Amino acid sequence: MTTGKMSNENTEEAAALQAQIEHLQAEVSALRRQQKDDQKDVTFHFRGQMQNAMLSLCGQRQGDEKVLSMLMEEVEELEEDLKLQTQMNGISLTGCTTKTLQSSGRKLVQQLCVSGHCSELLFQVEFQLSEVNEASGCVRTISELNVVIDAGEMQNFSSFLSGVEESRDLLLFFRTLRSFSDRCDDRRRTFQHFQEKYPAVVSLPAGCRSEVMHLSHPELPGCVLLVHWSVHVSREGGVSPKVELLTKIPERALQLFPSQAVGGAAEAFQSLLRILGAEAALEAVIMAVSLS
Amino acid sequence: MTLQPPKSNTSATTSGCFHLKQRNVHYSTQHKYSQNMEVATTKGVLSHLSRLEVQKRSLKSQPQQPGGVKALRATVEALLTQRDQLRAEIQTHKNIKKLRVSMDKQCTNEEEETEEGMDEDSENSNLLRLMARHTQLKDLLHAHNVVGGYNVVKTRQGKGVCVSVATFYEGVYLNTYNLEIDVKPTVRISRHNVPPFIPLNNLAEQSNMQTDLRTLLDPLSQHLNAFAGRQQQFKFVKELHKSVEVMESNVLCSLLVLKFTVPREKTAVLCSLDYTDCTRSLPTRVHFESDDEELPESPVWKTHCSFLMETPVHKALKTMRKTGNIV
Repeated sequence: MTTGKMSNENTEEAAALQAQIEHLQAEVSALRRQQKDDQKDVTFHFRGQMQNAMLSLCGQRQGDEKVLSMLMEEVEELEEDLKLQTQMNGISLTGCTTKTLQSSGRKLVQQLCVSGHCSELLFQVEFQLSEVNEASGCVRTISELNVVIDAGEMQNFSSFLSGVEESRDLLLFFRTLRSFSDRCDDRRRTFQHFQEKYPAVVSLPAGCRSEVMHLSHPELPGCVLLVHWSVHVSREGGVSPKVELLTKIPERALQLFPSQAVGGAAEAFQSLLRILGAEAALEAVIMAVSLS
Repeated sequence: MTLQPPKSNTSATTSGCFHLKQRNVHYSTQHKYSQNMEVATTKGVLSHLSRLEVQKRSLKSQPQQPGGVKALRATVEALLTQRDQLRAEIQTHKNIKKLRVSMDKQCTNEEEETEEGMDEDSENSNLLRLMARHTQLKDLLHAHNVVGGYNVVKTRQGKGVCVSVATFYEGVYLNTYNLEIDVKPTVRISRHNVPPFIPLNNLAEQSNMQTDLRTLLDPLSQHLNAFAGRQQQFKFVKELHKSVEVMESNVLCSLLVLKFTVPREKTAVLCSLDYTDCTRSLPTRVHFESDDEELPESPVWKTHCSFLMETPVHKALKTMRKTGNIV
């Protein structure tokens, strides 16, 4: 092969290679843009152990076993942290999906959908979270809050929920939900306690989570005292338990015992409530009903 | 149980666990790393390309074409590697996202566990599943923070904890207050930056904090948020309603005295708002005083009175000015 011929072939190859290079460079740029787009979603923007795992999966890193175990360690730490936060915050979050709506150097807007439960109350909240870097620091705001809770509790909460959606007070919603759940737990514990202690007198026809406890003497099944323990939620988020005593006594019985004690039981109970508190007052009533 | 006074109001600079508050890094700061990540994946290729550049220059003395073709071939190889790497990363990303979606559905019991036709071998699919779970956990932890969780952090090998109480009003996250709490031998607040007019000592005494820290934190959060609400309302009154004069207010924001001017008669009305319930951000009492003694008893002003009892003051003033009742 003469030098001349070699140089011609070389020039052709060089030209072909150059074209290929330009084509590949364009492809790589396009792929890089796509990757940058993918990473705008903060959840899927990997760093640290996640980054190492990603590179290992794509064949760039050696030592696969180490990568798996290190990531496993980090995941276990996160699981522990989640347990701790769940216990401390008194709510259980089972799902959180995020969608990045806007992501620039200074501003990040995400749409979050968080679902979970507080004791036995299920909820789902959806809102937009904005984080803006300003001179004074990072300012976080919430907008477009939408709250859904377990249908059973709706009537208790409806005025509160509309207020909270209007004022976008996501944190108040959760504080109130927890408070409500705590007061319901108080009620459940008290009802269960009395049913176990005085099984002949106390019954819970709608279960221990209901608002009503029935008291009656086994030999006088027609005469029932109803304890109605409701938990109110004000529009402002104030949670207040209200305990009332109602009597279900047949007319004939009332005629036989025209004493104030029976007729005025409801008011008398309120006084007892103010002096002794709910549990002691209820115990006093139960003792009276069991005629012991 | 004793409480030490806070060392300073600017907690961020004090040592100890206050630095740990930075742990929940705001997502916008993570954004800075996007450029670095790009560099990390293409670093190997770029350094190779620059080596080729150096090689090319050093071959200047030799006949260029053969050296040139070799260099070009090497560049093509490098670019092919880079392209394949990027394709693999993007595909892996997609797979993790898909896995995550199906994991989210499982958590809300929407669907049974199904393998969405992943071709990965079992080792890779384990890693993928682990990565998807990682993203899920990060999101859940972020959610705990966003909905006003206490951000509890264990310190000193379990002998203490750090908690932070978030405050929030009308859609804006406001100040966060931090407490360092000893857990052993007894539960005791050791440091905090809660303002002195919040009855932290009383709340601690009335709580069951030895067994349940939330019996302290929930009432504290209620107090702090109510205070933040009142504070913001007073701030908005000063900023948005310059025609209304603020005669008196206090640090706890439990008292606000305003001077209204009635438009036509130019009468002055003094309005006192008492916020004696520190767990609320609405007043417990609204009282009007005027030289015109009949004015406070008039139906219009009785309406204003109940309006101010039920509505945040800055919003009430907006309405009252709009309807021309005050200047």
